[in-house]
Amino acid sequence: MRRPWLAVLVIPFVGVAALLTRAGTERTSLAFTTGVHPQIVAAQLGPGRSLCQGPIDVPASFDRVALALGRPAGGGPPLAVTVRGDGPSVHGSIAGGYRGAQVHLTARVPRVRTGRRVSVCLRNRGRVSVAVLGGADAAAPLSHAESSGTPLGTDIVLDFRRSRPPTLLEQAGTIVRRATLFHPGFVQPLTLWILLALVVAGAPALLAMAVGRAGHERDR
Amino acid sequence: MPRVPRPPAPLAALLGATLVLALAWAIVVPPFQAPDENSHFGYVQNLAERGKLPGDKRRPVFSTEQTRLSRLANSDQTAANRGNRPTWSEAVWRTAQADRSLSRTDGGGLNPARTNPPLYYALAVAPYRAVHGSSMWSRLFAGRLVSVLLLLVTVAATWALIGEVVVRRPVLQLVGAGVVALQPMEMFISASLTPDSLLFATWALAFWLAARILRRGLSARDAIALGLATAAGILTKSTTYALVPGVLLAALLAARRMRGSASRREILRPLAAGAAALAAPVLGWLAYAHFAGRAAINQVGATDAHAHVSLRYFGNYLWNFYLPRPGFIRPFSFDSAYPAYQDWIKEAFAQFGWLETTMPGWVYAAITVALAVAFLGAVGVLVRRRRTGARDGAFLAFAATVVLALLAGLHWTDFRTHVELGQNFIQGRYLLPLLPFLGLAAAGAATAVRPERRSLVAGVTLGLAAVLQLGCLAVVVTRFYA
Repeated sequence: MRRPWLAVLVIPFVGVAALLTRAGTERTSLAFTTGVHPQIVAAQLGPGRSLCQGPIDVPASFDRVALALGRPAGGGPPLAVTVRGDGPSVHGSIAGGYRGAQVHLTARVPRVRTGRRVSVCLRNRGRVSVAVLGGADAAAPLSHAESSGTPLGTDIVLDFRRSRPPTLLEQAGTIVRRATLFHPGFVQPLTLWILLALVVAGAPALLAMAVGRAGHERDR
Repeated sequence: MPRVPRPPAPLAALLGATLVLALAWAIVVPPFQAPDENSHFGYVQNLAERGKLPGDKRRPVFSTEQTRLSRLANSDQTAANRGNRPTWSEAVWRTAQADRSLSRTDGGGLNPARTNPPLYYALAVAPYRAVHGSSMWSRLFAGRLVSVLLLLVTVAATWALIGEVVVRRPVLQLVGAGVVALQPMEMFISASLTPDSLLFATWALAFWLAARILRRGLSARDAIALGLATAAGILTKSTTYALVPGVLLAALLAARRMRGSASRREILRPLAAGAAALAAPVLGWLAYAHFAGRAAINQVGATDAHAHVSLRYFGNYLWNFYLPRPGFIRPFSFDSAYPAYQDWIKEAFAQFGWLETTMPGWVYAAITVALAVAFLGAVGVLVRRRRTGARDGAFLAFAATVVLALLAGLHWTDFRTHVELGQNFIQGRYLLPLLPFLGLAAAGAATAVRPERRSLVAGVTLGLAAVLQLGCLAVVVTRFYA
């Protein structure tokens, strides 16, 4: 090969093409999460009782709310799911009859848009109690579970999802915006796009230059 | 004023590419999403704001500023928890930006990093103070920049090491230094606020200086530099005590080679100067730590007084760590079925965040194959060089001593931590100070290729390493922001 430095450009080019292809096809239904893992019973929700988790800032719109419930014996009761806050409340439900020590269930709700601050409330509409799974209060440091205004000292598992998940490529702008948060002030979307160009094109170009010059450099 | 030599053009270009990629890592990785970075920042902040080392049990571990802002960024909950994400809410971010009056001076308690010596943290104080009026995120980033610059030192030292041990051919030096520069875990760690970055740099410098005295003979200047590099490593992390036997061996072998051509005084003078350069700072630190009532070396705190610690059981541990276990060998309680593969390949090459962010399995398999090619190639070249009368023995003895001392220290600590605390100690990154030897092996293996094809080898090696970098960055971005 007469131009070995080309290898340093061609191989990353193929790699970037593969990554873009993957990003154009891979979809993620997760809009955002409170990040709580099902480690403990956060609350036993008796018939007719309700609990809420909030406040929760909505950084990406969603139309599914996923919970973790426990109902080891017998069928679990139906639950009403309400998302309320600074805007119209939306409602969804979880059908009864589920079984298992740890069941992950999803309630469909009308779309909740980005930028709202909400609480998610569950109400037991059945005749038996159900264990709502979650973690200790620190699990979601910015929101808390409460029942009738009384803090429960726990957080419940809540994942917010989308029925039409975008591809990673479609989310590029959102990803860049998120990456600017909790960073120094100079880290703006434009900075990150420039950085991306430098990483994808600039670094391989410098490596190609290194190979090219090393081939010509005299041994010392 | 002495003229600073310009780096060779290929090295300058390699350093440029390394800088670009390392800056990308430093910007993309969310705050405190590298191993123990919160502890290291707490250490730097306490040193910068109060002029004191952490460890006062009457004080909170971290300042109000760090605790409050980490909470808003969801840092602690995201660490090591792949299901969690940093805070994506712009409203919370605005709240965090508005909180500029939080106390920075009320930390300094029982920080997990408090047993580390202070050299790296003292270095990071300067950039912290330089952007003192900025947000905590800016001060953290300024500290990360120190680590990035230290990565450049590591890469340049590896270049020099290869020039000293293999041959001064830019193509071969580029292959070896490029492998070190673009190793994903090395770059990820070196783009975070961590003393490991200085550890890597001091070890790479010590390797180069040891090679230099073995090849050129012992001079007072090189001996002092070697002593200072080793001392700097010890004042960075206690791990560097594992470097001392190798450094002493290199000095003695270099001195032995001078017998007959130099007087006794000419041999002893550089030896004494090097020993003083190594001992004085270390003894100073040990004395300070003793009188200040601080631990100078991390210790395993035994909780089980009846724990079964014996050499035989240690042998059992080693067998289980490295080899498949036949029925007659007693099992050992490792977290992984293949601990050596998990720790020395997966964790040492590409496991990010707090080790929860992994690459697909085939990537590690490919890395293993590449390592095998480099090391087997290097062994083949060594055998061939031996036949032609090359004198590699002294440097090989030095390298073997360093590798074995580090492995012995890590495994003994890991064994005791398992037995006495029931916990895992070893992490793959603990092996990264040895990375210049991998660069050396890669450069050595490349000498097996015909000279006219070496540029192609360099191009393909760097191209593949660049792809690995891009893939790792993409995985990290996806994990934290998608």
